[in-house]
Amino acid sequence: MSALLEVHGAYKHFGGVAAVADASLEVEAGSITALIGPNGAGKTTLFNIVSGFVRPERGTVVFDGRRVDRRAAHRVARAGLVRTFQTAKALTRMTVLDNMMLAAPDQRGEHLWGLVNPVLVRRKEREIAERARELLAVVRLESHADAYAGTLSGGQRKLLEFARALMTKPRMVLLDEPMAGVNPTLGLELLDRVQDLRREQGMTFLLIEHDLEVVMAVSDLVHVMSNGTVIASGPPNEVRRNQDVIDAYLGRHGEAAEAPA
Amino acid sequence: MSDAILSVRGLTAGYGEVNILHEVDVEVGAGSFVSVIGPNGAGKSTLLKTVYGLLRPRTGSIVFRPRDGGAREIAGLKPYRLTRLGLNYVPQLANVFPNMSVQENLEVGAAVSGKKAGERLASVMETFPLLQERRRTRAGALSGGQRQMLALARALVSGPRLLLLDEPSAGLAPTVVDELFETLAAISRQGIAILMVEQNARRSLAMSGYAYVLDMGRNRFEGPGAQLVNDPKIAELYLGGSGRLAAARAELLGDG
Repeated sequence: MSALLEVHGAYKHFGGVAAVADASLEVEAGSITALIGPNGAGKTTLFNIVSGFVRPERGTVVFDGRRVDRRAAHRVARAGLVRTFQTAKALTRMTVLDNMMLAAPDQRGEHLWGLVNPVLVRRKEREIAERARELLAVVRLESHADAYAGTLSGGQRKLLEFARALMTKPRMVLLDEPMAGVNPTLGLELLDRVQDLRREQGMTFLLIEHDLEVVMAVSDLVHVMSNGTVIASGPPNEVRRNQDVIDAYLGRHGEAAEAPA
Repeated sequence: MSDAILSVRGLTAGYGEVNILHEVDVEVGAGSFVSVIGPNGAGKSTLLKTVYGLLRPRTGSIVFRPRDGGAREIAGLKPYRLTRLGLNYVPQLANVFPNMSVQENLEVGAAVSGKKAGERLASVMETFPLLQERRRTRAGALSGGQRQMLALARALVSGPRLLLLDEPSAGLAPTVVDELFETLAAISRQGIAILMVEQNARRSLAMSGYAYVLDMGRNRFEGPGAQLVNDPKIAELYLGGSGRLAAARAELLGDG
């Protein structure tokens, strides 16, 4: 196996605060890799850097052998790397199906082509709709296809976002807390789908997750972030016993200023 | 604890259809330093919001003992009334008015807090010389640590008997955190009780007389901070599993 994604020495400051400071990690092709760490460790900022939503001040992001750190998000997505957000970003005034279809690449109706050959456009549209319905079935939202996305619960919107990410036929998906706010049974199904996609299509996943039970259940390898950098990497059972990781989660003992009890 | 200033019993609260807290018990002795820790989603912030009247409890009682007068049930009281009774709260975010000066922020704190607030404002300024120095600065232009100090100072102007602090060290640089914790210790030495929610579990345990560990909205462990600080159960809780998935899987199998 080789690395599909490589991040080297990434930096990003907000105001005076270094959100990501010298972060490096690799994700093997066809793996499910987890990114964990205490609140404020820089996990989401690193996701933003990798997916092209934030440009790093220094450092490189290499996806499938190509530098993508100077590319805008839509171009990163076109290269086969897509992400979901912690708070799902569905277009609430559109139907669930339209949300899905909007995510499909190469829609011929958008080009002059459509004027020349409308039959081909309609056929392509049908294909896209078919694929959209298939993917909605994968996340058990097929019965909601014609409902407005705004009527979905928070958990269902996350499933929609996951399905929408798959519309682009990505090679790799970044999942930002896929389980948060999703009821456990739906969450479990989402994890099963992730494992199916990896097994059947060799899709690669990098996920931010707080629940170590989830991390241990699905991931091959875990990267741990703290204070903007990656402090440990390894199999889940190894990193949770790592003293630096425990320190990152519990905080270090300071020169305790004693207060009366 | 007969000298309890705050006594939370069987508190259940949440948002929409979801309960975040499940029959939580917490007690704070007069003048004591108590912390609440727990992994993400434990319900720590929700506990403080419910005590301070920002969220209505579904069941349970919250009894507070004001300076003069006996213990009284405060569940359902509005925050401004609690502030007048001597209970104040410093949220984690958005805890100052960014477009007002430092001085104005403190005056707002004084305005809602009765007659003696003016005198207290002067003494609070003495406790925080840096704020005195920067009193004409716009609060939004302060550093994260200074802003947190201002939020604390404004809460102190109301003359509280009990302060509720939501993750005061969040997002601050380590040296600033040291300074902040020293300030908290100084506030505590003045006899003001503190109930603090913190992500930095070890630091907060080390300075707490007593501590509660919440997990998934329930009381999990409690004890003197000095005892809990080296307890391996705590690390296990932060870096173990929630059991959520196993439960969901068992439920699915049960259905099938």
